[in-house]
Amino acid sequence: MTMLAIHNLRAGYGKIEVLHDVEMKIEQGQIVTLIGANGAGKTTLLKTVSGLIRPTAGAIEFEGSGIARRPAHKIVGLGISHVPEGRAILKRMTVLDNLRMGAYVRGDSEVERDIGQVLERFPALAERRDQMAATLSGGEQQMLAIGRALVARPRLLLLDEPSLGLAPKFVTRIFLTLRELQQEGKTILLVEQNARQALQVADHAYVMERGRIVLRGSGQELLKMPEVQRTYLGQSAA
Amino acid sequence: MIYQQLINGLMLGASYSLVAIGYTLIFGVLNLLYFAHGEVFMVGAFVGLYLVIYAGVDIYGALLGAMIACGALGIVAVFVAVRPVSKDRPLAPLISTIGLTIVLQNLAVYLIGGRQLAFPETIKQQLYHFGPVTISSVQIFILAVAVTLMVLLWLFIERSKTGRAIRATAENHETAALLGVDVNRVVLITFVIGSGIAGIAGVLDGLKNSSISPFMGLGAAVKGLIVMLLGGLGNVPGAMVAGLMLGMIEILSAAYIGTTERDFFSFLILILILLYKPTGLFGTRTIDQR
Ligand SMILES: Nc1ncnc2c1ncn2[C@@H]1O[C@H](COP(=O)(O)OP(=O)(O)OP(=O)(O)O)[C@@H](O)[C@H]1O
Ligand SMILES: [Mg+2]
Repeated sequence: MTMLAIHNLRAGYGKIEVLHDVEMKIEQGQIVTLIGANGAGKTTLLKTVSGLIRPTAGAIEFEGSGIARRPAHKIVGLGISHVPEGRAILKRMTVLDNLRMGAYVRGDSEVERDIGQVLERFPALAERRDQMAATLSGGEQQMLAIGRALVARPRLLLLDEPSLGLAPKFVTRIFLTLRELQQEGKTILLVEQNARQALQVADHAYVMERGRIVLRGSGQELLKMPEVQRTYLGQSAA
Repeated sequence: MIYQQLINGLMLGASYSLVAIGYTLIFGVLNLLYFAHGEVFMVGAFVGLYLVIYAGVDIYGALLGAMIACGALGIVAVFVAVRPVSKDRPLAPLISTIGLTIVLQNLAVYLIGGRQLAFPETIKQQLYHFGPVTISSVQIFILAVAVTLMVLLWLFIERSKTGRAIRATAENHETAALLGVDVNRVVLITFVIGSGIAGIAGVLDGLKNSSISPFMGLGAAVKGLIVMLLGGLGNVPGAMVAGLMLGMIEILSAAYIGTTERDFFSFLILILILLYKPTGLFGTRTIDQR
């Protein structure tokens, strides 16, 4: 089943168009990776999907229904959670309150159980549950951001550079978590600078340049393409 | 003597706190100095007065009526002075709410005249003596209402789902929206709560001074702003504590340093805070920080 389908999408900031005719398709249960240089428009694409930016043209379909004109606070309730660039945790709130905010769209009785599961998944958070989120380390903040998104019970997760600025130990942990989440049935759209690892976990991948999708294929295929190796994997042409 | 002064300071400070809470709540979610807040306080006092005089309600009815009327006024303020102006120009809502201030004040002068009105005695005056300290029934009532309101508000902000959404919105609109918070709705709720509390504060002020005037808003606004800065912008418990502190400082300085101009100390504190501790005593952020 197709989870997310993006057609001819155009979006930007004010009069400046950043995304030109973007096409993308994500099947249920896949990890799809999007790579691209700084300023290519990756963040803009995620913000458009999650409703922070209103597209000027094109369509976004989530599980078959159009969501392109809905506001962000409605989209999260449909099952799409966006973990923004730079771990937008709520620094003046406790770890636990951050997780409770993750459940803001839910009204059922299993919220506390789900929060418990996140704390089990990330024991560092459990130890610090009553601390202000500002006091967490960068890696812990990223775990909190991901954990908070999970509490909303999304079917599609949008992750914007989750490994940015993290120590290798945490980077490994994040990629392990992504695989676990896939096994649990989540679908993931991953934006990464860490192209090698991101392509390795990817079922499918896209390369964006200046607001357009210029390459696509399976993760393995992209890893082997010379232009990808040259530009994104830092290898001279073999 | 000192205890008596402390009680008087607490009394004065409680009303400062109530006004400052609205400022700081609204500043929190919108990063906006909302100028019309003092006028909302004034409207609350007059609604209370007229309810007592013409509708014959008791003081609880006056408080409730003022709260509802001012809460509604908060909604009007959002639709008239906040939403229509551009979010990209930070000074625009400042100007539009100053405009609202002028409109409300002139409307009050037009309807009521620019004079003081006596606030009717709705609570039986009675004096209680605790050792050297004398407290009137009115003072006890004002303090009880203010403290109850503050405790309820604190619980609401800290514990309730909507309170969490208000805090999240105060930190970051985008993040809050991504978590499912309807930011526009939260802003509206914040204005209703802040304005409702200001309305109650207006009635309490009428009780305390036994008179009200269309110009009472300015003084309340200035003190509220000082308390907000003292407590830390957007910091609700900070505003509560700072209000009580400012009240005490004013009363004690007037009593012991012997000045009749207690406002002098408020402004001195304001200047010191801005110079040396712009994040306030309980520090959150400064005006241009977000
Ligand atoms: N708020 C904004 N207002 C105007 N232009 C913006 C805004 N945010 C981003 N842009 C522009 O849009 C383009 C795409 O930015 P975007 O953040 O989507 O890139 P990105 O691929 O995520 O880059 P990075 O890898 O650095 O995160 C850039 O040219 C950027 O300058
Ligand atoms: Mg980006």
